[in-house]
Amino acid sequence: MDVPLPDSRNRTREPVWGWIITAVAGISGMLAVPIIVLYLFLSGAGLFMENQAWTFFSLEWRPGDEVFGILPLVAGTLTTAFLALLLAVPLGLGTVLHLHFFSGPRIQRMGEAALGILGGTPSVVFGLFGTVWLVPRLGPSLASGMLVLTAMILPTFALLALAALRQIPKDLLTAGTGLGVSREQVVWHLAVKTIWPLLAAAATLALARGLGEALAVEMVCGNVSGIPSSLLQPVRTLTTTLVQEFEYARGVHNQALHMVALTVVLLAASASTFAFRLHARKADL
Amino acid sequence: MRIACFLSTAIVLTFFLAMGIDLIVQGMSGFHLGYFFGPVLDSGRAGGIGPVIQSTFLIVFLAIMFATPMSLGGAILSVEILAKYPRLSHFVRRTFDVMVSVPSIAVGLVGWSLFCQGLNLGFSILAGSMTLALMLAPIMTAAFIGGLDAVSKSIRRESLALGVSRWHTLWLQVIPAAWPALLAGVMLALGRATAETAALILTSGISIHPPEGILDPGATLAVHMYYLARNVPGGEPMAYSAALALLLINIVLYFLLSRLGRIVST
Amino acid sequence: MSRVKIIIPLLIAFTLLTLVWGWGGNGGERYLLTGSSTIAPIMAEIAVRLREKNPGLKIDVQTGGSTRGIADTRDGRNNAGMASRDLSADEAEGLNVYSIGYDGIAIIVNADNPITELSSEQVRHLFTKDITQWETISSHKGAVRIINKAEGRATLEVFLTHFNLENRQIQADAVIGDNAQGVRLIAADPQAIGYISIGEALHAKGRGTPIKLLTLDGVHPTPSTVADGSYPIRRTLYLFFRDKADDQGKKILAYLQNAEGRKIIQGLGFVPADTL
Repeated sequence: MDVPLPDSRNRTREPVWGWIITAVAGISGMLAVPIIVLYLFLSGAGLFMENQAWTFFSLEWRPGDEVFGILPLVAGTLTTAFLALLLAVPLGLGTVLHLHFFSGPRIQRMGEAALGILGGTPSVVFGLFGTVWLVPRLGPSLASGMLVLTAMILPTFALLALAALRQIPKDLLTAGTGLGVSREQVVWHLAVKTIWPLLAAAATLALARGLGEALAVEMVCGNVSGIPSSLLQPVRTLTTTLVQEFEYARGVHNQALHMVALTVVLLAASASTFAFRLHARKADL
Repeated sequence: MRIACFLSTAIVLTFFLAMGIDLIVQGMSGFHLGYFFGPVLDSGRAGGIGPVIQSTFLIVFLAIMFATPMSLGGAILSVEILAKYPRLSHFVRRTFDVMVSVPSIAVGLVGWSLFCQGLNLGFSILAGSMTLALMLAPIMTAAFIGGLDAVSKSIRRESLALGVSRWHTLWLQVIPAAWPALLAGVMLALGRATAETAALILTSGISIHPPEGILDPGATLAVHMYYLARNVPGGEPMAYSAALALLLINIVLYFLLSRLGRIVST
Repeated sequence: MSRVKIIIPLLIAFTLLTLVWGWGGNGGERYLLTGSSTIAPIMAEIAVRLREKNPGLKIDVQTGGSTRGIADTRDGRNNAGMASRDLSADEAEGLNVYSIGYDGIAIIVNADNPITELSSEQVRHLFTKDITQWETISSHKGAVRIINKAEGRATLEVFLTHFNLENRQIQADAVIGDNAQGVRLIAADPQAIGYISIGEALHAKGRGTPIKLLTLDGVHPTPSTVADGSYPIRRTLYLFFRDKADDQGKKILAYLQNAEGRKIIQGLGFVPADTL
C-alpha cells in the first residue's frame, strides 16, 4: 500500500490567524494583573507629592485630620491573617490526616464534602455567623475577625493539603508499615515530612486568601484603627478600611486608599508567588 | 496524634453541621412558595428573591462567557503554543496562578474605576460581569491547563502523523478529549462566581428590582445577603434565608462537580 | 461531539443577545439615591409608594453615608443624594438642595442597662473614656464600650459639633457605618453605648429590638421634642440634585411634601419639613 506521507500538499491548513486570536485572548487574560497594579499605583502615587505624604508611615490612620498612616492597617491585616492561619493549619492538617489515613471511605467522603461545601460558601455567610454568634460574645474584635477568617481559609488549606497527601506514592507508606513502623509514625515521618513543601505552599495560599478578605472581616472586627493589645480589642485591616471609606473618599484621601489597595495586592501577590515557589520544590516525589 | 487528628475532624464536622442547622432553623421561615421567584418586598425584609436570581444568572453567565475565551486562550498559550519554550510556558502559568490570590476588593475597586467610571457604565450588570470575569479567569485557566496537559501525548502525535494541522488537532482531538476537565473548570468558576461579593458590590451595585437590561444595576444572591445583613434595619432574618439559599446552591454545585471529577479520573 | 456543535453557538448567540439587551435605554426608569443611612429608610418606603403609582419607576436606595451622597451627586454618579447634616458652601456649590425633614440624634444603650438619662458632661466623659466603668455613674456594672460612627457619616459630625469634641478624642471600641449596624451592636452588648438617628432608634425599638433611648440634659428624644426644639441635638435632612431636579426628582419631592409622604416620614420617627 502506498500511503502518502503528509507534506505541505496534503496536510490540513494551519490557520495562523486562529493561533494569533487564541494567543491574544490568552495574553489579554494575563494583562489583568499588571493593569490592576499599574492602575492602583498611578492613581495613588500622587499622594507622595502632597504634604500629607509623610503621614503614610505614621502610626495613625485618621483621614478626617488628613493623617494616612498605613502601618496600623498593615499590622491589623497581618495579625488577623496570621492568627487565623495559626488556627486553620493545625485543624486543617489534623482533619485531612484523619480523613486520609485514619478513617474509612464513608467518613472520607463526608469530610471531603463538608470541606468542599464550606470552601464554596461565600465569605459573607461566615460574616453573618460572626455577627450573630461571635460578636455578642467576643465583641467586635480581633478574636471575632480571626475566627471568621479561620472558617474561610481552613477549607482552602485543607483541600490543598488533601490533594498533596494523595500524591504520596502508596508504596512509600506500605513500605513503612511493612518495616514495622507504627501507623502514626508512618503518617508523620513519612507522609507529612515528604510533602511538607506542598503543605507550606497550601498554607501560604490560604494566608494570601486571608490577607485579601474584606467584607466578612469588616462585619465583625470593630474597625478601630490601631494595634490591638488583646484579642478582645477591635482591629482594622487594609481591606476593611477600603470597604468603609472607598465610596466617599476624594482627593488626597482617595489617593491614600489606592495605595492601601496596592499594598494589599502586593502582600497577597507576594504570598502567592512564594507559595508557588514552594510548590515547585517537591523534589522527592 | 491519632486523637488530635480525630478531634480536628470532629471540630470541623461539628462546625459544618452546626452551620447547616443554624441556617436551616433561622432561614427556613423566609422560605415560602414564591421565595425563589417572587419580588423583593419591604427593602428585602419580606417577599422573595426573584429579581436577585435574575441578576445573579445574568452576571454569572456573562462573566463566564467573558472569562472562558481568556482562560482557554491562556491555557492553549501555555500548553500548546509555548510548548517548546518551557520557561515562557511557566511564566504564563505563574501569572494566572498569582492572579488567583488578588484580593477581590482590589479588583472591584479597579473595576469600578475602569468600567463603571472610565467606560461610563455606572453600577451595571455589564460592569459587574466584566470585573467578575477577571476574578474567574485564573481559576478556569488553572483547570484548563490541567485538563489539556492530561491529554495523552499519543493523541497529539497520532493526529499530527496523519497530517492533521496542529490547530485542528487541538480543536478536534485534544480539547474534546479534555472536556470533562474543561467543564470542571467552568463549574469551579461557577462556584467562585456565586460566592463573590466584594468585587460585585462596587461594580454591579445593589438593587431590589428585576434588571431590564445589562446597563441596569443588579445584586447577586451573595451581595443581596450582605446588603440585608448589613444595611437593612431588621434585615437579618431574610439574610439568613438568602444564606440558606446560597448553601443549597453550593451543595448542588459541589455534587455536580464531584460527579464530574469521577468522570475525569476514569 | 455533535451536541457541542449545537451548544456552543447557542451560548454565543445568547450572550450576544444579552449584551445588546437594554442597551438603548429601556421602558422603565431607574433612579439611584445614595447617601445618608438615616434618610435611606424614608426613601425606600417612598420608592415603594411611588412605584405603585408609576409602575415603570424603579428607585434604588444605597447608603454609604452623607459624605458619599454628596460626593456621588457632585460627580454625577447618582440621580440624587441624601444627607443628614448641613452641606458646606463648597459641597453645596452647584447643587440644588432641598430640606425634607428633621431628625435628632439619640444616645442609646442596651435595654438591660438601667441608666435612663445623661447630661452632656457625662456624655463627654463617657466617650473620651474619662469614665470607663458604668459603676461610676449608675448601678450598672462593667466596662463602658463606646460605639462610634465612622468618618464621613453625618451623625458623627453632628455629634462631634454638639459635644464640642474631636474625633481623635473619642476612645471607640467599635466603629460602625450605617445606623442599623449600631443598633445591632448595642442590642447585643449590655455595656455598649452609642448614638444614632432618633428615627432609626425609635423604629428599631418599635420592632422589639432591645435598645433604650436616653434622656439628654433632661429632654427625652422624640419627634415632638425635636420639632419644638427642646431636644438639644437636631439636624436637617436634605435631598439634593446635581442639576435641576428632573421629572422623577420632582415627583419624589412632591410626594415628600404631600399628606401621604408626611405620614410616612412621621411613621418612621422623623419630623416632616415645614412643621417647626
